Amino acid sequence: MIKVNSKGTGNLKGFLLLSAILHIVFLAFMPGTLFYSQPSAPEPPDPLDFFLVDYMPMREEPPEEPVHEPEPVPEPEPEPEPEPEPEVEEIEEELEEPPVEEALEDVGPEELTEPPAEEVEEDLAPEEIEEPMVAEDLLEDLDTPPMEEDITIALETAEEDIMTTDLSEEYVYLPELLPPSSEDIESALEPEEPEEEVIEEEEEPGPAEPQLPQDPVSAVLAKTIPLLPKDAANEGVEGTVEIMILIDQNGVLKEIEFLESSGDDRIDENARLTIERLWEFSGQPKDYYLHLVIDFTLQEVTVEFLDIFFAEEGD
Amino acid sequence: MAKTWLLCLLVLLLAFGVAVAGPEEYIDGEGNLRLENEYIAIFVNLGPENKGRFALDVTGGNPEHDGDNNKPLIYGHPRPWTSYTTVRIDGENYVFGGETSQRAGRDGKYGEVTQEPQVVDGEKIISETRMGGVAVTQVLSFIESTTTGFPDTAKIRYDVTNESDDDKRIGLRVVLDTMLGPNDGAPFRVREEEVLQDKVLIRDEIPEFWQAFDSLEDPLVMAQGDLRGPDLTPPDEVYMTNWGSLADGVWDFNFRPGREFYREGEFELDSAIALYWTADWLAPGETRSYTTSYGLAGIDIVPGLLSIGLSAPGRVIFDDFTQSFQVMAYMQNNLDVTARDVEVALDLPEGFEVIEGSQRHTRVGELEAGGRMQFAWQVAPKDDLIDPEMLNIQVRADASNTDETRATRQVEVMPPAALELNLEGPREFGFIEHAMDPNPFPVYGRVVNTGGSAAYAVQAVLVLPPGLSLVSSDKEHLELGILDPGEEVEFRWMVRSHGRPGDIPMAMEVSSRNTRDISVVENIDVPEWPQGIYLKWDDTERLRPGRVATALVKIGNLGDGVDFEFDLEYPAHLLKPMYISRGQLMVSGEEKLEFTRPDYDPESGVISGFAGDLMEKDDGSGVLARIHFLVRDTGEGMLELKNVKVSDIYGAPFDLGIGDLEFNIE
Repeated sequence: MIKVNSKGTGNLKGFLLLSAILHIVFLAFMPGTLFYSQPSAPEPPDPLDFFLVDYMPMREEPPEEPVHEPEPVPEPEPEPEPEPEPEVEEIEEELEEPPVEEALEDVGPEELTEPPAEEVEEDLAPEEIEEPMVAEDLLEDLDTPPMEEDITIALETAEEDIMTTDLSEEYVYLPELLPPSSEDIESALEPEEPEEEVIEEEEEPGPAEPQLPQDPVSAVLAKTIPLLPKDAANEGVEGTVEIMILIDQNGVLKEIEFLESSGDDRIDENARLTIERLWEFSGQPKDYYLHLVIDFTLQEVTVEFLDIFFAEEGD
Repeated sequence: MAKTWLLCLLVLLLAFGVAVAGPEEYIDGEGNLRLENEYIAIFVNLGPENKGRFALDVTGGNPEHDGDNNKPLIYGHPRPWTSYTTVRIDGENYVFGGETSQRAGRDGKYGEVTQEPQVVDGEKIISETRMGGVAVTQVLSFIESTTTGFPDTAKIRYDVTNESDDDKRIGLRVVLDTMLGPNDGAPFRVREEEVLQDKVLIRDEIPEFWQAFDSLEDPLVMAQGDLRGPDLTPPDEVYMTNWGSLADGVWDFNFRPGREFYREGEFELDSAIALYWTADWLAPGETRSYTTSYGLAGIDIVPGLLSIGLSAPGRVIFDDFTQSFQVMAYMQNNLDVTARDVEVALDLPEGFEVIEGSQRHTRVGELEAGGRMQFAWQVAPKDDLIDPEMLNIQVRADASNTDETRATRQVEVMPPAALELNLEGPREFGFIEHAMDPNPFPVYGRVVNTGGSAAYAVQAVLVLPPGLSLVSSDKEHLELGILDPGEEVEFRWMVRSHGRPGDIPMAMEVSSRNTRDISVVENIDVPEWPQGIYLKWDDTERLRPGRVATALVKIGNLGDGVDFEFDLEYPAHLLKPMYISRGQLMVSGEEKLEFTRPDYDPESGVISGFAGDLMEKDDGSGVLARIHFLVRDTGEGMLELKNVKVSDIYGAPFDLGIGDLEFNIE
């Protein structure tokens, strides 16, 4: 509980009066009140704060003229790109900053849009590295002598390529497999003259057995790779046929036997007709068989020759 | 009451039925995008392989013949891949659409499909592929057949746009793997020839149309390809050969005149046709269109011992570009014995004659049992002026051991297309602050077809003299497309004046594929532009104490090359100059033009010694300088230009109006 005596009451009144006067004075001079006066504009520090500034693309001229154009308004023709006008505060800052011209020169449009040359070089670097690596690999490959197996495989592949990638009607003639001339046949039929010593050792030199080329491909003088029939391709049908061809000693086709059908008559028929009509065979000492497989896929057709052998009597 | 409701329901159903009677679109059971009407269907492969390749079916076909219903016109079930289009760009062969692993087009290059096949406006299927800097759009739609008069024909169009920065040498080849019902190897019928072996037609040899059917006795499907016509682009070469050869060769192919249409690599007949548009230069940004059509043939067949098929356009138009039409007749001996003393005759109305082709009266002699012959006549009016009328054309075939057979066909002569033009610019111009108003201004063109038939590929070009130019967004060439009889089209260009005064002529030239080029000239009166130098606040809202306001020193219509000097007086108690910057006239690209730094006297309120050289500027209008003032106080004041000297490049002074600027700061 607060007790207040008369003396204390007088002190309190004086304090309150003083406080009220101070508050009134303070409030009267606050901005926006009765005695507040706007600070005068800063005097120009003559003439140091006056600058000629080289061209700063300001906000482009607004359409000063009232627009009376008929709709639709055409696209304006390109003019210098405007920039927003600086506010007062910004100007004051700019006054302390280096001249705008320098700033503009420092930051050219190219610098803003294009990466530094060094960066470009860095970007290109991986490609530059990759190429020599590839080249080195190739050099290594070339330097390394091929294994004998590799050579064999390569030759086989090459031979297969010659015979199986011919998708056109172009005939492939293998010069070494042209029909033998009469002289060749005679020479082939004549037994090779054995060396004298051998003759001496052999008691009775019998007639030489007829030979077939080891590679069945070489018995085919001309061939066209059959194609997957259009209607089968249209239905997405693929298939493989295994065929035995009987050829007489004059190279004339005698019979085509399907050891395995593709399951699609169109494919079988096209294989048969292609061989019948477009293939040519070499003559051999006796009738002979060619055993082959033709694989028809949507992407390609391949022919694989499996075997060649003489026909038995009566075949 | 129930009857009324029933009637209303019936009317609604009928109305709905009519509303949906147009082409129908859907994805078919095989995954193709299909657009069909009551005659034929176009269906397009949606890929991923062979995307964009198309084929055609008959739906209802010939209304008088059920044998063709739902039969193929182009090989393509379940998914089209055998017909394809090659775009030859600078010697490289690109195949339109998605890649393939199949035989047709396997060796071609492929671009990127940038627009999946889709139906647009319910009436056409559009797809787009970009390849080698070129955008190619395939547009497939229905059009009326010239011989049937029904929309039973597919219009096949390719729009090729050079999107690169270089000229491109571009050609096009369209392969159509024709198929008439189950017959994939039907011969082609070209003029008087039944084509059964490899054949090429070059330029003038190319007929208006070719046809294909298997038999006159009971043809399942009768097809026709149009090669010439007002809405078509005649190919340079047409090859008829087997499909296999065209499948293997994406541009050049194994062509052997005299070889039958046995599919290369197989032993079945399979005819196909390739239309070539040889390579020609296309400038950057330009577009070239190639259009052809294929669909059902209108052949009137009269059965008999000597049966006759007669075909001719249902409507013909005689104009500056078309002076004749083609009539074809087919005859087949259905006797078991040789027909003897066979004669064929063409009867034409008065005023018409045969100018090319078969004799009007042909003595055939003997025609073996089952033998076929065909005849073609190019028919033209004897006089230039032909009134619209219906022509009756008749072909008679007779033999000594049969009865005579007659086939008749009606041909309607239509009046040609005729275009009328109008060009209109502003009647007068005003000025706002030294600037002509309006500028740029609109120029309206109008083209109306007052003729009796459609005008095709209509183009309008605006020709402007020096002193006027188009705004950059407008093109002087406008493609107006097809204008049907009575149809009118209005368009607009925005033109800018560069200050050359006088009565200036503008011209509009209009051309089309089947009308003469015509033009119209319109004069506009461009007034003398007032010249002046004046002041303007950039934004009067900034005229407030404590803010920065910008005054613009502007000139108007001073032409090229200006030297200038002036001083500027301002009320120093209201404004304090902060800085001055160049106007856009004082900058030319990256280069800052000569601009002398003025002197500043804060006591007198004068900025003196503005000077510069504008060199060459467009029309000598714009902002010379910007003066940025700090607004000090409220009150009225004036900015004044003093000691103004403006001269041209020869030193001759301009007689200028000078515009000072009064203002009030509140």
